[in-house]
Amino acid sequence: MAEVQAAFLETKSRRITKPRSFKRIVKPLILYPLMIITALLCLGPFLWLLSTSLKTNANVFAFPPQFIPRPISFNNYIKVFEFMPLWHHIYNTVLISGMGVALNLITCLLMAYPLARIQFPGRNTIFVAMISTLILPNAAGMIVHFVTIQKFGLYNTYLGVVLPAAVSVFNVFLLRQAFITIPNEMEQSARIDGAGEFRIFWNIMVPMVRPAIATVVIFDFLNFWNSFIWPVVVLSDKEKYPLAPALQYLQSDFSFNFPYIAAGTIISIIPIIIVFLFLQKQFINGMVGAVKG
Amino acid sequence: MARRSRLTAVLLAVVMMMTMVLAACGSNNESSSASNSAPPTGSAQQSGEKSEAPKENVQIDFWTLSLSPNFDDYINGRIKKFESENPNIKVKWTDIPYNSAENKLLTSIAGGNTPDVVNLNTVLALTLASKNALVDLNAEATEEQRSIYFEKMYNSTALGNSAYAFPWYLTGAVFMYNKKIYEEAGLDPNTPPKNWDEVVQQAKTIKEKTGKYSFVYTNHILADLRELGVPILNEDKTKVMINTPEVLKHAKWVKSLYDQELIPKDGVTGKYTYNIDQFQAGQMAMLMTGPQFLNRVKENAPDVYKNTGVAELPRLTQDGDIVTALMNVVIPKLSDSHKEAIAFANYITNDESQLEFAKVVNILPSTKQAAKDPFFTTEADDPESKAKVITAKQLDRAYDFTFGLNRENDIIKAFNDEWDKMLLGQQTPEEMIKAAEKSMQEKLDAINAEFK
Amino acid sequence: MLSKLNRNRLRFAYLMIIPGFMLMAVFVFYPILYGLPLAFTNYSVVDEMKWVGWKNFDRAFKDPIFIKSIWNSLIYLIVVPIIQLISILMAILVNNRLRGVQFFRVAYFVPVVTSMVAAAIAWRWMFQGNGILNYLLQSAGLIGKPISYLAEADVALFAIMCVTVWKGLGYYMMIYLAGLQSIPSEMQEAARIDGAGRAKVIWYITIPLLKPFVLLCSLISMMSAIRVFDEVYVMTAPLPGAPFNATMTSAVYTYEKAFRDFDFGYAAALGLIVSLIVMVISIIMFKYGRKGGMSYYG
Repeated sequence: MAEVQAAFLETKSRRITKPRSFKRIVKPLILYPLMIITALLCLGPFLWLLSTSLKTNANVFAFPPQFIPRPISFNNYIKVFEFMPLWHHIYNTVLISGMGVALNLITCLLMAYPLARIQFPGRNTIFVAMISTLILPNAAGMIVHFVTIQKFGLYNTYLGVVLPAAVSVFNVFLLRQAFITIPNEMEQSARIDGAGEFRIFWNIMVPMVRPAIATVVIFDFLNFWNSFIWPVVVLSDKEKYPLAPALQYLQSDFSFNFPYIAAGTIISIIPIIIVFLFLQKQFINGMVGAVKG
Repeated sequence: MARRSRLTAVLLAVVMMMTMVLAACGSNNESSSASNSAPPTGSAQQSGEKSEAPKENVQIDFWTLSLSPNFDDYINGRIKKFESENPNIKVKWTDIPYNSAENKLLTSIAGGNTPDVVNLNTVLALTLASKNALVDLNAEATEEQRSIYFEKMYNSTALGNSAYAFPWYLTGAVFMYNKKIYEEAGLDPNTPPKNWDEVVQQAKTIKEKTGKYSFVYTNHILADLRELGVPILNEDKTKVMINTPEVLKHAKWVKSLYDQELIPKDGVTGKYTYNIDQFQAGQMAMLMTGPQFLNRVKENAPDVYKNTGVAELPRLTQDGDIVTALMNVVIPKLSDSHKEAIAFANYITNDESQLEFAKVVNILPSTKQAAKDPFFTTEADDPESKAKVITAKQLDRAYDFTFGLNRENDIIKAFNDEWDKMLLGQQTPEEMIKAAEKSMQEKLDAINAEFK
Repeated sequence: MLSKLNRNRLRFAYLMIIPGFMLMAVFVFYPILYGLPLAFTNYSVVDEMKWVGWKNFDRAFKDPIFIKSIWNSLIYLIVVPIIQLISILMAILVNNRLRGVQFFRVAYFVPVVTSMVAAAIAWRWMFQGNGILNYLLQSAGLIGKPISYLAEADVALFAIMCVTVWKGLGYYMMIYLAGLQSIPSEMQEAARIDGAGRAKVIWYITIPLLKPFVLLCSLISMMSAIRVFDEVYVMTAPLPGAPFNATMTSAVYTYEKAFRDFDFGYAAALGLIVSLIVMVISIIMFKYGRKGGMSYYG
């Protein structure tokens, strides 16, 4: 189905850009400047951070600012790595994010599938309860989570960091929507071939919702990667901190150094951009599936 | 389908309501058991007596705010020393990023995982104290332990006859200025202002000659008023008394600084952060704040640092007390080894510890003996060491502003909101006084009603 | 009677649901259910808890800062249509096959992944009286005197909204891009052949076809706008809601009450009131959205 869709998009866009020589010249002439201006507006603060992080020993607050650093120096990056065991924190973050995304994906997939395709008693109740959680307040959420994690004996463990976010209502909705759009015929023919329920789910249905999975992975990865309060609450050893809380140490009164903060921020953003680059196409298709259903 | 789901929704609502009620009862029980484990004052003293005989293998959880990784060696060194002197006590140190401190502290208390010694600023310490969550050191610490601190600082966290924290380190305030801007404005870079009249005079000259702003008025206004002799509250802390000529005069004066455009409006909300950023950018001539920020200037703007002069902070009156930001250590009541926790809290803030700390970073000690060390009178040529000597002289007058009231931050915020409103031209000084008095009185009444 | 197949399927369904549902029960449903009755207590975590009835709600309706914060949260909803409009235009812009368009899509998504703390440092710097924004506006002759965007009570909230818009555009653009790619291009082509201009095609054909996406995005952005926290908190530090609560939003105020004043009971009551407001707005939006003949959930 995803392939069909991709093929459809392919032919469609080919049709749009069908070469008419006038269009071929004028369209880029209008579109490129527009896209570049928008990109500059979006990237502005990010570029400024990047440029600051590459400056050396200059006044980063100087006005008017120096936009392109001269000379370009990676000194701040090296210094940040010396200031704190950054590789270690990156490793922790990858571990936490990986674990969190995997757990979340599995529980949400398992939960979304029956909610989408099997009529069972209690289904609507679960569904309405889930919707209501999007609206009801959660004032004591963090405290209740902490008490629970502690009762489970998970204080100061990575599992304690990821477990409260190991299932997400939003993701279940998203995946459920994707499962709903799969035509019934696929399931029927598999059943005739003698496939069991779980095999239908795992070998046939899950591959069909790959785009939606990409969407879930990106959002989840983003959340786990950037969360900075909860890991501090659950973890008691600083050595276990992921990147985001560790970077906060750069901002204390005694060590506030803006080029370091800039370098640290850039380091923390790059992995997300890479994940996004890889999953971008799937991500877009995933959103189509989620809303169209 | 639609009708069925509506039915389910109604059913669900009923179920939820029922669960709510049940949960409410459940949480009631839970809280009462939690408060059982939180010993009220009486039993707390009991536990203090009980532990007369040294306990075996006590572990103390010690939390600090954003001191790692800069001071890892220092803190670990002190802990090691303490452990070798007290072989029955082990100290586990956790450093928490400042921004997550409140979250971590509250959740840990709720989860029964309370730390034994916590580093907090005065406001947070007082808030916790007013919630009955901290050990009263006047009752549980020994006279010997309490006597090492400057009295004014020790009393910064006093409520009634109780005091809830050992003062730790503090940062004084100095006058820092950009000599280059002074030269550009035709001022003598070696004569910093001695009083506020001169500050204003110089700021005017600088604005005219260079177009640059000079400073942000970062003073704690209520502390200003107290320094000017305004009582603010009456003796028994039941009535707000700020409708006085002194307040009006001070308000008019500060407002006039904004009206003459000697202070940028950004300063009202940005406070000292804005001041520091602008100072670093070479866009502002003066910086009146703690000397620990000199380090920031040094790192971020070495060229500005080279031209930075340091002088004594001009005061509104000659002999008033000096407000500083104080860091404290407190012992939560839920700690299960009060005596050992107090011993460690006292140790990490004692003369020896603080002197060593001051030599690592530009802070001042809160203990009397440490402050007498020649280290604080020896001046080198760099701005940081000059600032150290200047601020160390103020130590016996330094304190952290407080009313000694529960939830007093409500009152302070009520005042500051009206004050800012005035500065931004939303009301006149006269209206400000009326509005602030009313709003502060409301908060004060609410507090007095709740805590009496 | 259920057939064997159906019984099998049911057992399978429950088996699948259980892990997720258990986690949800513990970490989603339970905290909410636990939190609701707190609104009727003086829960402060550290001190003894007492039942106080409707007192917290009484206090809330008499609390001028809370009322102000609700208004501000409602005013904040202005970002919803603005974000939709701009992000649709951006999606249309990058919905082409020009070389390098991938790069631009990623570029537009960068604000979404940039940490709020870093973004705030950059934005505060731009908003300063002598910052780059005033510099540009003054050189263009649009304003005379420089504006202190974050200090002026009438401007500050809108300045913060700009940050929200900036940070949200990429996210919604992606959703709209997905929407655009799902629209059969025949309709647009046909209109073009009929001689309709590009702008007309966008306005009369593309946007109406995007309507389901618009409703979804509006709902998501409405819920996050009314609960806006990060932007306000970091842009107004060290005084949340500065100047004098002109930018105080309900989420920031609730957080302040809970974690600064340890007034969890009161904070829970405030949260409940805000939720009621969100619910009312959601229902209105759904009714309005449904009128166009769209449906989402199943």
